[in-house]
Amino acid sequence: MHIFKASRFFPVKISDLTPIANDVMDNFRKKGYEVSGEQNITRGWNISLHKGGIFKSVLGMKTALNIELENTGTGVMTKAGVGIFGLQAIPTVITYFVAWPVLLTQIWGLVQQAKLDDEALQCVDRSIIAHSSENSNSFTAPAAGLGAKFCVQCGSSLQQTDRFCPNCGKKVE
Amino acid sequence: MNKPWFDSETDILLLDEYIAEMPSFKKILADGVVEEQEITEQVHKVISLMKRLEAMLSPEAKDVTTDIFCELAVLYAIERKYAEKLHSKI
Repeated sequence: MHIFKASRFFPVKISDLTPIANDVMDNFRKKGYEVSGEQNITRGWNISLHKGGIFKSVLGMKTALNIELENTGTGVMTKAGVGIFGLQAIPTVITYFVAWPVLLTQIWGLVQQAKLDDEALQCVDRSIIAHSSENSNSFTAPAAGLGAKFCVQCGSSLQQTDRFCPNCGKKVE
Repeated sequence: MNKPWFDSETDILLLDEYIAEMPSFKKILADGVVEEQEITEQVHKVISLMKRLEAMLSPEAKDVTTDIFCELAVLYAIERKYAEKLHSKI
């Protein structure tokens, strides 16, 4: 999936993202979505959600909301966007289809209308909070605690006085 | 046969569904190979259809059709450029 349309960084260190991915998949399965998920080589998770009415097939291939969970070392980066069910890369035959940008934007519009992207990110949020409180060995809350600042671009920890991220240089807002 | 361009309920473009049923597209999917001859034949098909269409259209409809061809090409080009930019960040 080369175009992510929504993302959120959770500044919580988690050694294993499997329980979070399972929670997200269970949540949508219960709501009647076709769900597929697999761990990638970086031990992150790629999850696909499909349901008729929101997603259509393009050139015979099912589109889906693809959710990516990645452990950045400083927290969990979650990204959500329209892609092909079960595939992280959109097949070339579709990207070469001249009206693909139109379809991509229209399907994304339906996802936003259904607030599906928000729901996916909130589901990850709830799961992280739940698992953080029940297992302190696997989940490490930020050392600085509540009120700690993190770079919105790379997730690095910031001092309260930092005006720019010491890691990537992004201006602190 | 009058094929709608958009789904009446979702307003989503339906062109890809017609393409998926075309023999020329099915052949490409089946063997995954594109020969120079196939491109030449496809170009001739497109030109022939454009000439047929041009002869049918009123001046006003022709202006709109020209705009669609051009704007669609621009959209495709800028989306490819945007995707390249995102890809280069990975």
